[in-house]
Amino acid sequence: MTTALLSLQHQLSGLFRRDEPIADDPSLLPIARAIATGNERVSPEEQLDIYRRQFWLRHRDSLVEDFPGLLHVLGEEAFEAFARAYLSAHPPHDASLRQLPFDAPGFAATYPFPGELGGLARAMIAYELAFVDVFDGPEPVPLDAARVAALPPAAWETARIVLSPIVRRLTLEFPVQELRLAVRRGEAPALPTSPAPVHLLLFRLHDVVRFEALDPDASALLDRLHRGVPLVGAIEDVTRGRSAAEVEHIGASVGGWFRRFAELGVFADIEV
Amino acid sequence: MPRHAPRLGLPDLGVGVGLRIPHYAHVFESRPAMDWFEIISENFMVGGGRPLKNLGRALEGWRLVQHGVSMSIGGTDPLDWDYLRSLKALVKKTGTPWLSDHLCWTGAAGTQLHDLLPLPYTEEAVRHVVERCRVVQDFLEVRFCLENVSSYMAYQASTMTEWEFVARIAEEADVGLLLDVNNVFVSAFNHGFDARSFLDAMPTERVVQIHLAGHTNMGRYIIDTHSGHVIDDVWDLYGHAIERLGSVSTLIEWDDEIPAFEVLADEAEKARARRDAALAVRAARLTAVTETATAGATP
Repeated sequence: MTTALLSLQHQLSGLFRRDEPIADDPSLLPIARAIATGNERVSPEEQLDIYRRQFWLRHRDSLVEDFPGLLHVLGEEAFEAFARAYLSAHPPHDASLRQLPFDAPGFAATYPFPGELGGLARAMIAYELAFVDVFDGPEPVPLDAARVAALPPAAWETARIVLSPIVRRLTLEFPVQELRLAVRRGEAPALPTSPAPVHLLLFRLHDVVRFEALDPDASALLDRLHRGVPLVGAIEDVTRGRSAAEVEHIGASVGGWFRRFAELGVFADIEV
Repeated sequence: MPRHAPRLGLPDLGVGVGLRIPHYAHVFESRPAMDWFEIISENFMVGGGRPLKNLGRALEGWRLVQHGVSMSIGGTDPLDWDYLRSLKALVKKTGTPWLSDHLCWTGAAGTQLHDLLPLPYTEEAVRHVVERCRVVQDFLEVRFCLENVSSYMAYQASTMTEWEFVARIAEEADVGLLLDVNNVFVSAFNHGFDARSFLDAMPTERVVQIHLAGHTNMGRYIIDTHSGHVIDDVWDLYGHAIERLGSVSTLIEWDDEIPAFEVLADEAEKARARRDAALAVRAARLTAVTETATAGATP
């Protein structure tokens, strides 16, 4: 490895990721002039600044594409502040821009969002990130219905249901799914003012990412299955400590939930 | 005498355009006549979903050529083998006759800048890029082509011209060239060199493909935005390049403020007309040279 080329690229990588114009920092001018020639129209520091601006615009645009709902929640100014802080804390590290937003939930957990917007913003980030993940995730092999039908009843005591890799179950403090949908339609929906927890299933069907609201018990059941609990044990978990009426309700609903899950491609495999 | 067949023996595909998402519906439903499409490799290096379905539909109707933006062949970080393995899998899927990326670096010290950053034109950079090109071309098992980038800065460290740098690397690494004529124009304006000097220095048999695009003139400098029509000066340079190179696969890029597909198709037809005219000039010139030589050889 040539050290001159390496040190030059490391130096430029730092300069191009600066928030402020290079010319605004007098200490950087000798550095810029040692690197770039400039010409009669554009100074060395201005030449470098073209790339600095492009770094910001390219990654801001990418985050806008990933988080249209968050942009609506925060507004332009607060979104830009969030994006700058995020890029500063988590510089892009993958060749693909697709990976750019995946540190956002952790970063947002402690980010000081303006006013009372923190809860809504964090819910929207979780939801929109799941969208990115589900959109082009690997397609599972369709579940073999004949194999499922052939399973003896006793096998369900231990059989593990494997959920599709292009399905996400989300429990969010705000119903951000409708908000995002309205934003995508070009509307400017009002923001919810108080939390209203929602259980969601996000899935890809026929190459389109969709959501469906879940009954809380259906969501809890899917959560157990996702964690590898066999079906019988998962139902026992969800019904434990519940009233007789609730248990009866869950028992009566399970069949319908499973038919719907199967229609939506939630199940990828059965491991016996 | 050239040591290689024209275009390194690769086919002349005619005139194509870059396949972009806003045009998918029109292209797949109307199936317009188009010699070929170029795809951005990274858009299809995903696990599944709509991108791969659309790739399959495109492959059913047209010849596709892969063009990448993320290899960082001039970068000083180690080559990204996960990226290269994924790229190779896509190469097998598309059957691309060659694969291109930019003669640039895109990040350093583990940070990606996602930009096509120019290299200093130095002996060290030549050696570094040549070595990486050899490794990449060997691994991908397809002809690798380097594209000259637009640049907005010039390095104090450079010890040669850009065209010397490009030609040296192409020859020493034994790779092809994707000659972006708009990028030559942009960099010539930004750095004050003669664009034709650049074109005339390219090793003719290594130019496998040509890019044409619009740009944005900011007054004191030009940015390569791939927006708008190809300007007349770039068309003239293209004609000059074709007169010198002969028939080379040509592609129109349009990535910002993307117009209706018909506008892009019209631009491709304009390229075809320019290409045909330049090839006619070239043929006439070759005929004249041949006749002169024949007359001289006749007792």
